[in-house]
Amino acid sequence: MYSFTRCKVSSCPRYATHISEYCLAHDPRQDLAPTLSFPVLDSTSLSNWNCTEEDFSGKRILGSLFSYSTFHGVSFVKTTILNSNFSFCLFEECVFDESTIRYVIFSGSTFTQCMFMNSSITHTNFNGSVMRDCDASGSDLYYSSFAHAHIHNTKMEDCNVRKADFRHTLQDNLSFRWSNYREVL
Amino acid sequence: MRIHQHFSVVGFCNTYVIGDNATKDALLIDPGHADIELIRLLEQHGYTIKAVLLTHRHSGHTEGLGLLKKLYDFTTYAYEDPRHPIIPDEILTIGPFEIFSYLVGGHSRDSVVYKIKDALFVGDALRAAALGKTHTHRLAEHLKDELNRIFSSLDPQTLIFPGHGPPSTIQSELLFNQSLR
Repeated sequence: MYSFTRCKVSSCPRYATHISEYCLAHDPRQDLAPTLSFPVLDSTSLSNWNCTEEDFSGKRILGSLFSYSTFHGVSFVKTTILNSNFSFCLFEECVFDESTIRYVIFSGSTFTQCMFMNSSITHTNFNGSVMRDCDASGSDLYYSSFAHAHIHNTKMEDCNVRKADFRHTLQDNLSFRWSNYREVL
Repeated sequence: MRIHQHFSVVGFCNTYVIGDNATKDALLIDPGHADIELIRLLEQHGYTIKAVLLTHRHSGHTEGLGLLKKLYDFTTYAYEDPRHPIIPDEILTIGPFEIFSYLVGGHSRDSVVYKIKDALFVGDALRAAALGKTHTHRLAEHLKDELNRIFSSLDPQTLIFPGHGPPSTIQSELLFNQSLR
């Protein structure tokens, strides 16, 4: 879990992928398909990855590094994501419905038209993220942090937001209907 | 290296288990509460606890020690511990782990931050997007300066694991933590 091996190119600051000694930028010939077909993605390292219409539904993603990646039309339905870093990523039209997300970093990421309905998203860092036209209704957001996030046209209805952090959050048409908003930090 | 989090509903503290895949040696950081889930986590992975590291000695971060001591044989390290003291700015080697410690103070007199590979364990010195609680503004300024000193010397991608709340990265804290400015 958490492979901290650096890219072999000495001037490159990125982490090497889990299947080579180089980062994706310096070793573009890597065939990722066999790894991604596994039901458990453990210690996967794919920073700066451009991921389109992959299906991660039902998989388990553990201790993995995906920072600075882009995800378009990717399904994370019923996916379990634990202890992973998705900071500064771009998510477009991705679906996280009924997923379990714990101790994950989404800080600085942008979510456009993403769905997080009926999920358990606890101890997760969304600080500084941007959310547009998203829906996290029916989810447990216990101890998740949205400080300095910009949230537009988004629903967090019927959510558990106990101990969630919304300090300095820009809220534009964000609905907390039926949620316990008085229990945020 | 594997990093496992354990959340205790007693004191709302994060306990971290750092395990080595090859040797099955493990470190525990801040055992705030030892319950069946924590013991199951250790047993399922077949870990042998080599040491417990305390970021500071507030009860919410140490109360699990009593039960763990009855079950396992390990050494406890803390700043100014009479038997096994942490020496700031030095590398401590325990089994396969190399631990670098920084004395930060601020939240408590004995607050230390541990660096193991590209992961920082900050205890109550920092929460995602917030500085740790301090008694005075002067202590807050001191803590802010110490954290900025540490962060400026490390890779921005370094992961941060606080004693409470979600994990973060140095880059996220530098961008979104107003209290560090």
